[in-house]
Amino acid sequence: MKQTENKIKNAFTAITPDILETVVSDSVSGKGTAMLVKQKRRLPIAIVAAAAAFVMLFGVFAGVLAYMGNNAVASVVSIDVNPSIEIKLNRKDVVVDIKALNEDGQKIIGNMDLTGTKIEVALNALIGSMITGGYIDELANSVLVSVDNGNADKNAALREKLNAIISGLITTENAEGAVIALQIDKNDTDSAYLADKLGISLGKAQLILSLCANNAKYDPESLAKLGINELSLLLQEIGAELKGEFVGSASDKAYIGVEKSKAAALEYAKVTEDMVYGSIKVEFEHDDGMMIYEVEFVVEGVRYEIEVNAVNGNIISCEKKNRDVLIGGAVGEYVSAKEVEDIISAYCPERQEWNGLNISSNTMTACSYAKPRFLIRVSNTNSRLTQRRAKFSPWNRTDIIIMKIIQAVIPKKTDLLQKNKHLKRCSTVRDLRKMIFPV
Amino acid sequence: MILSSLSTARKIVHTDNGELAELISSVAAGDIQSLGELYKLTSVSIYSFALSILKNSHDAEDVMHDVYLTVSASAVSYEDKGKPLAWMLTITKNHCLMKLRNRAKNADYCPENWEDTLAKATGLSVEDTVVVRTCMEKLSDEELRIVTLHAVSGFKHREIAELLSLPLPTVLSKYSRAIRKLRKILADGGTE
Repeated sequence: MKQTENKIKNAFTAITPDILETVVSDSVSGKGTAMLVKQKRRLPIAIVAAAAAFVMLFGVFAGVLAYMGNNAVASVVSIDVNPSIEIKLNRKDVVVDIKALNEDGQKIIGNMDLTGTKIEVALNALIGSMITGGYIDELANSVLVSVDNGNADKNAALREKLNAIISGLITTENAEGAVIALQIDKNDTDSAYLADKLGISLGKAQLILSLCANNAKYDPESLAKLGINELSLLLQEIGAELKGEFVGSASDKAYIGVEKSKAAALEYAKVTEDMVYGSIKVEFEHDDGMMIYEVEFVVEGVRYEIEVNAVNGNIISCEKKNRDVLIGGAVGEYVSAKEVEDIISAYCPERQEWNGLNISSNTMTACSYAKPRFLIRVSNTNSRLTQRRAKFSPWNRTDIIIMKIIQAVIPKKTDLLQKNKHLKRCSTVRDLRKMIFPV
Repeated sequence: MILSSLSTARKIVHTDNGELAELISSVAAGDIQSLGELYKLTSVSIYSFALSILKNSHDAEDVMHDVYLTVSASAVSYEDKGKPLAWMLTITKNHCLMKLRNRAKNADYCPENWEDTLAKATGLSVEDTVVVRTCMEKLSDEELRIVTLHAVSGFKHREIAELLSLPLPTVLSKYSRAIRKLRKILADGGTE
């Protein structure tokens, strides 16, 4: 206990300022100073003057050194929400310079003078101002912070520090908020070019390029129009790799959500969910400056690809693809050749060309339904009894027509065939036809 | 510069009441040298106590200044009851309360950021910084007052209870809880 007490005593002694001079001069209004002066041994005036001059010179020198040290930029941090702000820090993380990178950034900084403050204080003021200005709220609560410091360790440490400060500032009772902390890569000339061309921060350019690398549909220019919250949501959706960290979760409260988008799409297609074959696929995407849900499902052999506006649920586009034929509900041990023919004639657009196809039930079988690999033996009608074998993978979109036919004609309970090494891949109807009718 | 020799030799205070009382009576007689001596012996106590109430270094410094002016002006009326430091601390408390009232009127007061203040302060060891910051940030107002009065000014718990108008058991339990808390935090290097 004594040791702690001593520490406290020493610490408080050390922080007590020395104001005796003021106290004395104020208490006697000049008179008392003379009394004190009498007790002091006077030094020759020349020495005093020399000492004073030396102290002043040293002071100026030290001051200049300190000024240079304090104003040397050690790290450049940029903050993006939609307002973009660049902050230059010295090695003690004190703000040396601050500037807005866009108009919103200018509004945020206003006439605040944050130079000379610690980064914590500056961030507090800036993020606070963004919250007050409505740039950060429960609908959009993501912040991108990018750090440019050549030293990887210091960069990581600063990112961690900034991440923690910003997360603390934007987290509310109801929403966590998301912070993306990026390490600026000076050698990344693509990002630099993009940032320069589109007038965005280097960090945002780097983030956009990471997203584009993961989704060929995206183009950097349209992504640049999005705010950080949207970019964070896309990042969450596709999980692109980053040079940095992504913590928290971006708010999707501004959007209608997966369930509502499904409902809107089904309503537009005038179908119900129980009519859908298989499952409904929903992807949160960006298209032409707009956030959308792309809803995909198949009903009665028709594949729907419907784009739903993620904000208001309006239908943006609907594509129907009739060629994706579906034949559901095959039952029985084997279906007859007649049934297969009927199915093919009914669902294949090129059915005219299939005339003469003869499929006999005993030539059809499957090797495994569970691991969807099918073997089909067919023979054509010109009685040469040519037999061909074909193997299909149902998971390949391009063979969907063929697969669905086969799913229909081959029941689940079939004998397993031994693996056949002569199986040949056949992925389209055209391939299948070639198999069946070799020229 | 003239007074520098006086002020740099600031001692860690020890409350020799007799010595303090004599100094106060010399101050009453107009002896500025005695005011300097009194300052050296008591400034840490006064400042720490003011700081523990105000939790702001600038305000505490103002109060300390005012306290010495009050002491030198009212030393004449000081009656020695064997508790000269307690008398000075009561003056401190009153000045602090005045300061707090002014602060309440002035709506734009914002609490001091100790991290910044201590970063700017010179002549502090790392340990001093950690100790002060921990005291300021982790102790409750009452705990802070009790701890500084006991550890810095060397007041007995009974005297603290009297000065702060608190029951003695409260002072005792708060003190031991606060010290335990500090010791734990300091042992962890200043972090909880």
